[in-house]
Amino acid sequence: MSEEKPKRKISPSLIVAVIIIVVLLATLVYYATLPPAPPTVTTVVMPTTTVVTTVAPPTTPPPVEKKVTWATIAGFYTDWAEQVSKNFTAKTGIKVEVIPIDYSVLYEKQMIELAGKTGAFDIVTVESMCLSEWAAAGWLEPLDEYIKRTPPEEIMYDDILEHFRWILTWGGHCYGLPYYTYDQGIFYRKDLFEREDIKEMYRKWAGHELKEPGPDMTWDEMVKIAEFFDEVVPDDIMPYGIGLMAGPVESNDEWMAIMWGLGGDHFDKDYNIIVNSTESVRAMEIYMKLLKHAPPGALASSYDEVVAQMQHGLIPMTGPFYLDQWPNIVKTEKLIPGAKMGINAPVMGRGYIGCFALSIDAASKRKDYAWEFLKWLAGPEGQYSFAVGGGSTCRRSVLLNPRFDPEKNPATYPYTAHYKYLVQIDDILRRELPDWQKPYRVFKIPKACSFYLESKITIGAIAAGQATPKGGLDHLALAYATILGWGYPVPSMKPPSWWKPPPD
Amino acid sequence: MKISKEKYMPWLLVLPAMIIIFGFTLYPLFYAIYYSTRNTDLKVAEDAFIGIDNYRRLLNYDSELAEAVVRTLIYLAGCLVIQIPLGFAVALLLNRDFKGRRVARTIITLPLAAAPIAIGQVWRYMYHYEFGIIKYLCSLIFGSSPNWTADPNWAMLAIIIYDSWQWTPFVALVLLAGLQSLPPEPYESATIYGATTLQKFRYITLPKMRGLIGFVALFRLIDLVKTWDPIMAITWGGPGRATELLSWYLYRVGFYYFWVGYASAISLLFLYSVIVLSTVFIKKIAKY
Repeated sequence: MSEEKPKRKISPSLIVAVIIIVVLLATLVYYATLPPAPPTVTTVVMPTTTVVTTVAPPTTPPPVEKKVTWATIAGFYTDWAEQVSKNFTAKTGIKVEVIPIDYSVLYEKQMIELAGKTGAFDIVTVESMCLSEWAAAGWLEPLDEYIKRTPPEEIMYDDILEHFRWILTWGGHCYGLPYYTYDQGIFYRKDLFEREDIKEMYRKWAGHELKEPGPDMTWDEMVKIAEFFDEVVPDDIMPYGIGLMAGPVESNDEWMAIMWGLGGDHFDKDYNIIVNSTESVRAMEIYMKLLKHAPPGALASSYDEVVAQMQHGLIPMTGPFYLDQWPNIVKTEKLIPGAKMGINAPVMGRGYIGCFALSIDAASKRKDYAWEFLKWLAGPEGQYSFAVGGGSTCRRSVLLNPRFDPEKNPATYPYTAHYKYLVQIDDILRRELPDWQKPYRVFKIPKACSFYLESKITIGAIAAGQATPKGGLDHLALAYATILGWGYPVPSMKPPSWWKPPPD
Repeated sequence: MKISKEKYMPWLLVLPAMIIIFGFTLYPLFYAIYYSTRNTDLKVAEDAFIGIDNYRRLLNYDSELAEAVVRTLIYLAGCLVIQIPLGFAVALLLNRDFKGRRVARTIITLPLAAAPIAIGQVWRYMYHYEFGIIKYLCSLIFGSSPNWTADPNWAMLAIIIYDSWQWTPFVALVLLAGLQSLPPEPYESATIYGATTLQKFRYITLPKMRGLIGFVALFRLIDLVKTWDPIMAITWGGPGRATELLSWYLYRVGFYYFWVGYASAISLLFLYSVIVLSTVFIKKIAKY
């Protein structure tokens, strides 16, 4: 009898292995054979600046879907963003996909997509300090041509507050339209500043009248008032002297406001680094003096904590503070019986000038749709509807519209009482700043965002007592030079010969 | 020439795993080595070969990096000193027979299940000077409370406490598994010879558990070096630079400034440090 040949079996693991290999190879082959994307941007690399020429592709295939993606800030703004997007879609048929991103990572997330030229976001949300950086890198679409071909009444470009037009222009081209401002001013408890017993107390203590904080006040006077409320006014009336957001996120905005008020700056007219100048150091010393009169948690506080301190009756006034917070800060009047809130332009007329602007990603495949949305949202109509919802608009015509003036329309007081101060800030800056500071040099250098982030850490470190004002700011100046690549290993405070200043 | 099935089959079977390892581990590693020799800056499209300049800079001129390394070492030491003994103590406790032991075991695993960023935000408010419960409890017990996250002298401890709260249960669970696998005979003999509980712990439990303690410490060490989430949620590296650990500094260089070249050099230093520390640890563990 012959031996039966064993039946050949195929191992299951072999089958799985073969399937995985085939799938992996197929994927590799698929991606390897994809045609390269048509070049849309030609980049010429220079020592520190990048000159970008945008070349329209020969033929743009029509987008499959009438839609745009918009990267915006999650949380406080998201509901509003979704509502206005729906209104826009109803009007134009262009669908808007709102992509909410937490503010703490908004910069990194958008930058990764922009640098990778993925075109994932057709419209990006740009902080005023970052625009030059993104524009210089060629990541943003210049808007001049779009503005030119749009009927002027639809865009009303000159209606935008002028100081934002300075910031959102780079190399002579407009790269963004602002839709939300958080320019700094000051909030204070008007009822306390008007109380006769407190005024009398101050008169006796200081030898002069108690003034309400505002642009005609000096920072030394502010320190004195903070000290008065903290140390002279009984704790049952007011336990601390001032609310400061000296935590790791916003302390540099407060310091910058004081520094600009004292005549200091990050860079001088010739782009020398002067962030450690006498004025800057003095600004930091003033900030430290103010900190002594702030609640003990100030070094970990953010803007929302200062709002909470005001609402709980812990502070009589803020430092340089974002005026868009008016709808939150005014709630103090409901929470504390008899409280009356005051608003004003910042002390010495200078605060951080900040806005969120909308820009079109240069790698977007739906630029025309993106422009439709952008011009609508940042235009007069969109901004009017934004203001109706209580938003902090950047348009003069909306800010001065009688509908939003609490004296003429008291119902708007809890939302728009800060509007006229935004216009006042614009007037002060236009009137008082020399031409070369329109805007401040720091906004123009395509490393502004890095400076901003670095100053955040340094100012926080000085405020926390880890460095002296002079030592810390000298360190910051060196960090600026390092970021600019001005000399290695020991950076220079003056621009080297090869460095080209940003175009005007 | 015919290649036998025995020869190609093992290679064929490990090929998928090798492709994945190469694609997701080795390729990025080599890419990081490549970038560490360049001055790549995504913001200005700079990208030129600069040899070992990035390494020279990080070893000779970057004082912030040096400070971050020192802070990281303090953080590592602080966490391990708290978590290992405390975890061991909890494991010993849970190894005893008492009513509600199962419930207790389940409860201690809860911190492990919490998302670090979300729970970090909760801790941020718990530490808050004006309305935080930790401040309240400290004031109640000691009469006053440190300003946990706003005082540079206390902020690091605040992060260490948070991390210990979240990860001590992991140490406890691993060590508990070890305790339960110990043979009962040595303990029975020791009891017959009249050994006290402390003597049994000192001469039986501890020697037998040393290897596992080293192993769990190694795991924690590798994980601690990478700590990022609580910093992001609670202190943002502050006040000032008080809690800026190596991982946060690396994040700052890579994702604030987008200095890809320099960040790659730092990340490799990071990697080498972990490898050296792990090797030393593994050698120590191997002795047991």
